[in-house]
Amino acid sequence: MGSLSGWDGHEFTAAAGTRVHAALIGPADAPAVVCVHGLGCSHRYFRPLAQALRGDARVVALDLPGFGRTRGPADTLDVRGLSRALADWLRATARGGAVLVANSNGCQVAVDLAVHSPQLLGPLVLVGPTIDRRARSAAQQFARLVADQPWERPTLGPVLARDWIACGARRYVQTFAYMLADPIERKLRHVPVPTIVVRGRRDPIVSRTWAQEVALGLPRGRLEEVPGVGHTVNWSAPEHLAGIVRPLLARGGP
Amino acid sequence: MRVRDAVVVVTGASSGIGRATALACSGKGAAVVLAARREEALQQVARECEAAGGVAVAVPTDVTDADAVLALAGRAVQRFGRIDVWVNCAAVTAFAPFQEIPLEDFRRVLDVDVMGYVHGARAALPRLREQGTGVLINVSSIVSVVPQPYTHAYSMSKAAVRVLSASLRQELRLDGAKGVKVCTVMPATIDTPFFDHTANYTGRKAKAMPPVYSAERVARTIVNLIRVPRREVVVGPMGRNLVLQAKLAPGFTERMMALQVDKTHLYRNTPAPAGQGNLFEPAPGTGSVSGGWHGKRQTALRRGASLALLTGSVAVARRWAR
Repeated sequence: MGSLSGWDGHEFTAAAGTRVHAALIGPADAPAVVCVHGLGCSHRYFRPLAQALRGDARVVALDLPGFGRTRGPADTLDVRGLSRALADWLRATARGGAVLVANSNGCQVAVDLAVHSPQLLGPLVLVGPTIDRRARSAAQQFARLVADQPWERPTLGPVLARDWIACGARRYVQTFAYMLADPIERKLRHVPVPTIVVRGRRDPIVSRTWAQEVALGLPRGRLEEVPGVGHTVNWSAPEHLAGIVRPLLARGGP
Repeated sequence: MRVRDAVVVVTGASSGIGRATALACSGKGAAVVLAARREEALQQVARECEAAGGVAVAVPTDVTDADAVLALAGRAVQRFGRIDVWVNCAAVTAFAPFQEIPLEDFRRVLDVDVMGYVHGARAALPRLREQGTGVLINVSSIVSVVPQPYTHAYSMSKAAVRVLSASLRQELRLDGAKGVKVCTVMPATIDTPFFDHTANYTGRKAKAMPPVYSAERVARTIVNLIRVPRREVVVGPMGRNLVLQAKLAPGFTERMMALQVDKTHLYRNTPAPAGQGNLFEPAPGTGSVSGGWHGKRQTALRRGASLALLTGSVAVARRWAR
């Protein structure tokens, strides 16, 4: 089965002006689930979710340009740059319309995709969508990130440390600045597809008020909460999240 | 830059240093694009690269054709999405007294060894600059600094390549393209099929002038240059000595090298018919890294001898000190 990394295989695609890496798990003929990572992260922290979905889906976790194993341009991409790269990759791999699972800042990229390429969107799962418009400052976000730590599994640290090194401090800070300035709440109404907002009940980064606001702002959105976990639900409660994703595969909508 | 996952284009990948470089990069997990004239040899190298753990694509290319080199860059981007490293390595040579080499051959050496590199740089740099990062590696030679008789066209080319690199570095600096690096590699004599492929009008068979180093050693240097780019790197300790000597005592080095080349770069008693070598037609077969000059064995022997000498002198010195 899987290699040492825990993935079944790796895929490289010439898209978005670079060589886009994606890690794969699951049978090739199963419906695809595309995972979009958050700030400074990569495909790696989607592994538990991918393994939980192994039998039912072809899980494809890509690295956006500049993160993980995908090299980015020297200049940091903003939210639109990242979402255009995602769109280009979805077109190149013919995965438009697949179920999209995004975490944290990855949700901003997925929502931005709806603004310029809505036809590429399939059912959407926004896991801990950022950034709470009531806490739109670096200081507040940092405080919330610290407050989130007790609710994350200790095993997440080493995984993310590796990704942070690959991404680099400059790209991390610049991407964060772009994410902070991104008015996600004004784009939500452009998302035409059925969307589930997933929030870890202990997540201090995404408050319940904000998650509800996001779900209400989406034309076809609803909120699901996962008890006992923090921000990174895909690492802390993969089975629960897989249970939320699975019905989307069968029916193409919640 | 990390070599893993990098996209590396190598010209002259069918044999010698280019082939060793492609294999070394593949071994580190790079995606390589192989260019040379011989498709058969390239396919063989591609298989070896994939066995070494990388992915490879073979693109038969004559570097004297600017459009073909542009198409090579296009193929690399189409297949792998980007270009991180471009290694200009395709080169030919001719041994001949100055008046005896046909002008046609002289021009061809300049065309491949200078214009081939120019075409490569012009195809690669726009792409590297667009990305904001990348390394262009030009394989020159110590003969760009240390003069050598009978190989005028080759030495001129190698000096030209070294100057081209410097000039490109300056231009990139002025344009503020900080992430794009240009490096020159200056190998000493390397164990490759180069000396069997040479055009020759001297009447004497050419051989690798000792000391000979292995092509893998140059490939290692190139891999290290990708990781940490440097302006100019000499490969082989004797190469470094000669380069230093050429700076400190240019006249003496010139006279010494004249004798040295006459004595050890061409066989005294083995005649060779006049011929164009691989100038216009590539050598047949699937090619190889080594030319059978025992680069690795010679290096091991030299190291052994140095160690013995060192141990001996320490022993003598200690006895003498008592």
